[in-house]
Formats: sequence, C-alpha cells, structure tokens
Amino acid sequence: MKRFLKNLLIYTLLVTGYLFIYVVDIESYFFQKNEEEIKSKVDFVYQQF
Amino acid sequence: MVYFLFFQQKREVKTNIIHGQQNQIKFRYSNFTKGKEAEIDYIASIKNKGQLTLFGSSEFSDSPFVPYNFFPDSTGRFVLGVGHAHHQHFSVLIELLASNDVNENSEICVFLSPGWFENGEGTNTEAFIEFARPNFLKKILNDPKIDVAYKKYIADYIYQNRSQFTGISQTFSQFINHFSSKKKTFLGGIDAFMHETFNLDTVVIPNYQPELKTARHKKWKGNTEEIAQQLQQEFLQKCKNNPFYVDDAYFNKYLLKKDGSIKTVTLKTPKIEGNKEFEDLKMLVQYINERKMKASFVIIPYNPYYYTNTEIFNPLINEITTLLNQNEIPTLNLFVDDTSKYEKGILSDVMHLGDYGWMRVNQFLDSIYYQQL
Repeated sequence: MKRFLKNLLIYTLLVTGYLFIYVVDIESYFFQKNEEEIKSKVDFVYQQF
Repeated sequence: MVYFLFFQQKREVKTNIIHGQQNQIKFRYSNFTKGKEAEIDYIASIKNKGQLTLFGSSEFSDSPFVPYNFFPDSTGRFVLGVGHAHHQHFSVLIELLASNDVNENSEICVFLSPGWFENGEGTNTEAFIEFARPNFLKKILNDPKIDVAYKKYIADYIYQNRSQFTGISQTFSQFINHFSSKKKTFLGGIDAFMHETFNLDTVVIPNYQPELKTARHKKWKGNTEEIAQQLQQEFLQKCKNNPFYVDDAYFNKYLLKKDGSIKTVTLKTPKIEGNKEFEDLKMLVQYINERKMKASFVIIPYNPYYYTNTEIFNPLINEITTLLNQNEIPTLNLFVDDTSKYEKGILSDVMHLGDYGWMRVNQFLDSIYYQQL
C-alpha cells in the first residue's frame, strides 16, 4: 500500500510536470514570448510565362 | 488546481495600442512588411469613409492613370492601393478581417485576375506571410465579433501548409489548436483542451488607432473620354512590331525568342469544383456582404490576340460574375473570349492593364463612388 502511494505520487508529479512544462508551457505566463517571425520555405518568383 | 486558480486570477487581456498619423493617402503598399506604418495607413484607409481602398496584384504600376494616382491627383480624393503579384482573394479576406471593427460601409475595389484560378491551389505561403501579418492574425484570432467560420478557414490553411513555413508561431499554433477542423496532433488536442477549459490563453489584442486625414476635393476639369481615346491612340503607336497589340519593348523582351520565333502559351482549363481560389473568392464575397461594404470588382482580361484559347475560361468567368451579381456587387468585366470583343489598349501586354484600360477603370469607379468625372 505504501509503495503504491509512493508510485502514485511520483507518477502524478511526473505527469503534472510534463503537462505544465511541455503542454501548457507555463514559462510563457511568466516570460511573455515575442511573436516569432515566420517565413515561407518556398520562394515564389513572379513569372508571366 | 491551485495553480490554475492562481493563473486564472492573474490572467489579463492586454491591448497593444498601435497609434499613428495617417500619412499615405495615395499610391500603394506592395505588402505590409514595413510594419506599423503600412498597417496604420491601411487601417486608416478602410476606416476613413469616402476613401477608396484598392486590392490588386501585378497590374498595379506607377502610371499616373492608375486610380490610386489618378483620383488623388485629379480630384483630391484619397485612394490607397494594396498588393503586388500573388496578392489574391485569401490575402484580401485576411486584410479585411483584420479591419473588422472599422470596415462597415467601407469603399473597396478588388482586381481579379483569371490567372489566379488556373492551377486552383489558391494563395501561396510566401504571399500569405507578406499580407497576413502577425498583428492582423492576432487581431482576427482574438476578435469575438468575427465569425468562427472565418477563423476555421484560416486555421485550415495554416495547418495544410504548415510544412512550407519555417516554424509555427504562437498565433499559428493557437489558430490550429483552437479552430482547425483538420487532424490535430495528440498534444495539440490536449493543449487546446487545457487552454479552453482553464481559460489560460494570454490575450494580446492589437488595437489600431490611426489619426485620420481629411480629403480636400478638387473640381475635375478634364474630359475622361477624350483622354482615354488619346491614350489608346498613343498606345497603338507603340505597337508596330507585333500582331498582339502589346508594347514593342515588351514584345522584344518577353515574347520574342532568340531564334526569332515567338513564344506561345496555351491556357489550361481552370477547374471550378474544388478550386481553392474560387472557394477563397466565395468566402471573401460572403464577408463583404456581411459587413455591408461598398465593394466593386474589376475582372482583368487575357489578351485574346496572344492567348488564342481564352474561351476555356468562359464557364469560370460566368460562375464568378453570377456570384458577384447575386451579391449585388458592381463588376467591370473586361474579360473577352474573342479578338473581336477586345478593345485594343485595354492591356499594355498580355495580361496587365495599360493606361487606356486604367481610364476605363477610372470611369467605372467614378460611376460607382463619385459621379464626378
């Protein structure tokens, strides 16, 4: 029982930590990210023909 | 739970006020990569009732007869052009959505090129980046008054073309996770669920506050029909070395091969069903109608002397004109399927308006918006 509770606590913390850090991206609420300037990988050169 | 409550209480909606004087009241912006200055002038143009905003592409030039030069110079009216090659319906829709709070009853004119429909793939990603600026997308994303259908439409475009961008910005990601109807990633789904359930998004809404200029109208003293005829005659004087009624210099540079033969091009039949460009046009027309804009369209022709199979575009052009007529949008349809219907000089080359063509457009715009010429 004691071992079960220990594992439950550890895995709950791991899953919660994963969600906060990688999914919710909790850092972004403390440090506002600047909008990344996205570019197109494909350059379309204007051609009439 | 404690964390969620903490962050929910700390959450605030931030407004990024973009303030500035309206400066450019004529000519055009090729795109919005200049940033704040271009965005302010564009929003001001839409907001300033009585100012006409033109959405066009490669036909835009420096000629004094293009409406964004002609009307400000001749009548003192404000006209701003937006666009260059590849500025198509989807980009125009995004620009208009970004001005959702000020565009009711705005005067706009869209220049439609049949060539956009030929491959049926719609707007390319490079053009999207140039016209769908981060501030515009953020504004659309966070404007509750904009119908979700438009947000879904943008989200699906971003999702479908995600591999062609150098990355996925926070705004792109929010569009995809919150609005895309396409397949989401597992993590994206959890992300959207968490944000929606716990109201976690940081909201930064750009708010444009341009100081508008006031136009001083002048009385027009010229004769447009006389000028148009004169321009047509002058143009025909420049078409001596070819049978296509295109400018000699253009013919030598683009149509004549080194061996002295002439380049020939056969148009491909544009599909109507599943044509992304046509879907974009329908969305644009729907939005224009919802916002009760005073909109007009100009359909640019192909030069039928050069393109000998322009008739294959007839079903598409019929669909387009039917759509515009159903929505009571005045249209100047210059498209022709035969040389006998073509007014020489409308185009200066094979697909771009010449000065005579621009005068016809000026007459059309005047009949819709000014009745002054």
